Amino acid sequence: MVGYLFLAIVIFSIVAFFVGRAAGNRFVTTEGVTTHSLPGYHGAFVAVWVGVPAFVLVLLWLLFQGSVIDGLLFQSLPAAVTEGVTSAQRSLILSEIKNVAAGRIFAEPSPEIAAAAETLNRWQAIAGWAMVVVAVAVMLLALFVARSRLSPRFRARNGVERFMMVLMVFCSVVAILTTVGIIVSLLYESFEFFLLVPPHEFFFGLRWEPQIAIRADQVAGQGAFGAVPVFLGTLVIATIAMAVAVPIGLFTAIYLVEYASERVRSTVKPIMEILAGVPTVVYGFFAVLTVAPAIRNAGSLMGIATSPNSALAAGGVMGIMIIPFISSLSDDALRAVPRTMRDGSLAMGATRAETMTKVLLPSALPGIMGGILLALSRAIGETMIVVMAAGLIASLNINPLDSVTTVTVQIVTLLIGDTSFDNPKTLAAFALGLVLFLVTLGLNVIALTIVRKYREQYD
Amino acid sequence: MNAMTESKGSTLVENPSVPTVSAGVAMKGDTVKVFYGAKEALHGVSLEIERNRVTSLIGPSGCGKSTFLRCLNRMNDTIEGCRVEGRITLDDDDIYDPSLDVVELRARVGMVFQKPNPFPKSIYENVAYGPKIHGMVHSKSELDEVVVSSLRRAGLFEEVKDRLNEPGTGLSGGQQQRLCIARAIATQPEVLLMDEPCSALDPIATAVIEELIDELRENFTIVIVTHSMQQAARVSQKTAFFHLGNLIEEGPTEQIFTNPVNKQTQDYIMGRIG
Repeated sequence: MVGYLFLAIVIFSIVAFFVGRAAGNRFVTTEGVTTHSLPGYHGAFVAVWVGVPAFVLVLLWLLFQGSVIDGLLFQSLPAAVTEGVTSAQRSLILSEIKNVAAGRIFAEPSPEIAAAAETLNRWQAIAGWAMVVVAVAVMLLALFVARSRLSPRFRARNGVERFMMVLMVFCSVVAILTTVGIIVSLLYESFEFFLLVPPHEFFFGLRWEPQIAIRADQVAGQGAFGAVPVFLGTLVIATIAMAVAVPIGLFTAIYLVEYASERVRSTVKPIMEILAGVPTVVYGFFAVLTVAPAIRNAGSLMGIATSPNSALAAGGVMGIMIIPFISSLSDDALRAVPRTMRDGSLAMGATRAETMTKVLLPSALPGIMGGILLALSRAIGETMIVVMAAGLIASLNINPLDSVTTVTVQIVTLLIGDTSFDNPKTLAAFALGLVLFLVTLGLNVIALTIVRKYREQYD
Repeated sequence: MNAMTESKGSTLVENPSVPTVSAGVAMKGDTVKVFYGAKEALHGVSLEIERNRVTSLIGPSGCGKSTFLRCLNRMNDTIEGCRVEGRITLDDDDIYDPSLDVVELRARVGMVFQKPNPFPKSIYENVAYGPKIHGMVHSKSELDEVVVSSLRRAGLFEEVKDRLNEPGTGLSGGQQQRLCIARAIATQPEVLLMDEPCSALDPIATAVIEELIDELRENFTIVIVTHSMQQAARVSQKTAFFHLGNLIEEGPTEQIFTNPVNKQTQDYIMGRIG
């Protein structure tokens, strides 16, 4: 029914558009060029008036119908049932009524519940029809009002443009509000966590054993929430990734900018972009099924003890994943150095290598640094590769051949299986997430500031 | 050309530093043709550049004067798809000969560009760049000497002596261009190419640079591309007029400006074309 209603709104709007445009066309034929707006704007103006208020109304209706009916329904129940119930019991009663109303009956319901279920069904039907009637009425009224406002000098274009601007503002606000919502929920749950586990224990503790019991009958560890080993593991893997990606990415960029012929460049660049488009889960396969066994075999050949989930495998593959970031951002930065700089150096009799190391790289350094920081924040936040290829046990070591775990891996494992939001095990994920968020946000801000500053240099 | 294998001859250090007597021809182009891809931009230009003289190349935009200038230190090599035919010599050595290293050539034939292009380094480092990369100096004091004397010859030293460590990009346009000239002469080139060096400058800065060009003539051979005929008349001893990729007429500046032989030259100088 709601689907049909939305379809009806669309059809009404289209009709309204043609009504408005026909009026506009008439103005043009009778009044000629003194008509303020083009006929299309008259049409769009009426369509916006008809479609948007009705659409917003239906959305709000759907949003609040449930809770309003719940409230009314609960009040209509006899006092014997509602006396002194907690909010949890209240929602249990309501969901029982809803189940009965929908015909999902597990046990014979009490007469009060059965009666309430019937009431619910009746009210819902009424509410549905009321919504349709109100929406259609609003649309007809809007059509009438908007159509009556049209005249040759009516500023339909300005109205439509203002509506479009409001729409754009709304769209940009959606992203901002979502971010704010994420931050608020992270902060709130982290605060809950720090009520259970003191911050100094979380930030400075050296033991991470978060798998504690959620229910009384579970067998689990005592629990320890010292996040240092987790941070250290992230640092180890990110360092390995950067050690792989920075030199390879930078040299690729230098080669592409300065030495490669047009033909090589037009081949290599798209391939690099494909590398950037590979899903991270595929990199995960690659790390776990190809790289990790290879490292283990190499290690056993040389008589070095190697863990099956070595940090080297996860970090190395992650490094390969972020090569395109560094190479393409460095490429941009090097290309942004004015050609006159390069010519000036070459005309001095500098070789291309000297021009690169003494003039181009120093000039492009801020941009390259920005790219590296962005890649680093990507490496720290990367999840899929490490979930598949890095270990689960938090150990306090920096041996790249050993197994380490990362912040992202721990967040995933903490939220898998039983969760309960009054338990430090679950809440720890939010504290880790908050730290991760702040670190990557900080890196991004620094990187973007550096890049922006650098952009201004040659303007 | 593979830049990784570019080597630098030590001959640069022993270079006869400054030819003092004006004698004969420094550079010579013989039926130079330049192609950008399939398009021929220069149709066989033959021109002699005389030692310790200022030679100006004039002509309307797109006539090939800058292209010819850039052939003289092989800066056209940096443009993809550009090909040069014919013969250009520097002291009777073919500069397009494979045995000649382009890096050495550019140390002997310096260049100043249209837009001042100081490196984003300090004033001192800008001037020290050439001597350093060519290994021309062996101590800090020697380098200081080269930097100071180059700045002095470019007429910039008095203005910047207290702020040698400040970035070169912070100078005014005219000062930046003189810094670029100081940078170019710091490697003691024989020939100095100038590609419209004053087109981005105001009249006062232009006058300063023109005066400087006249002084530099004592020690260097100068080739200047210019759009301003007054400038060509003021600073040069020899003028070559280019049009549509051809060298139309060349000769002593006075003759070109007062009594040109060719009709096209006459029209251009009178302001009828171009």
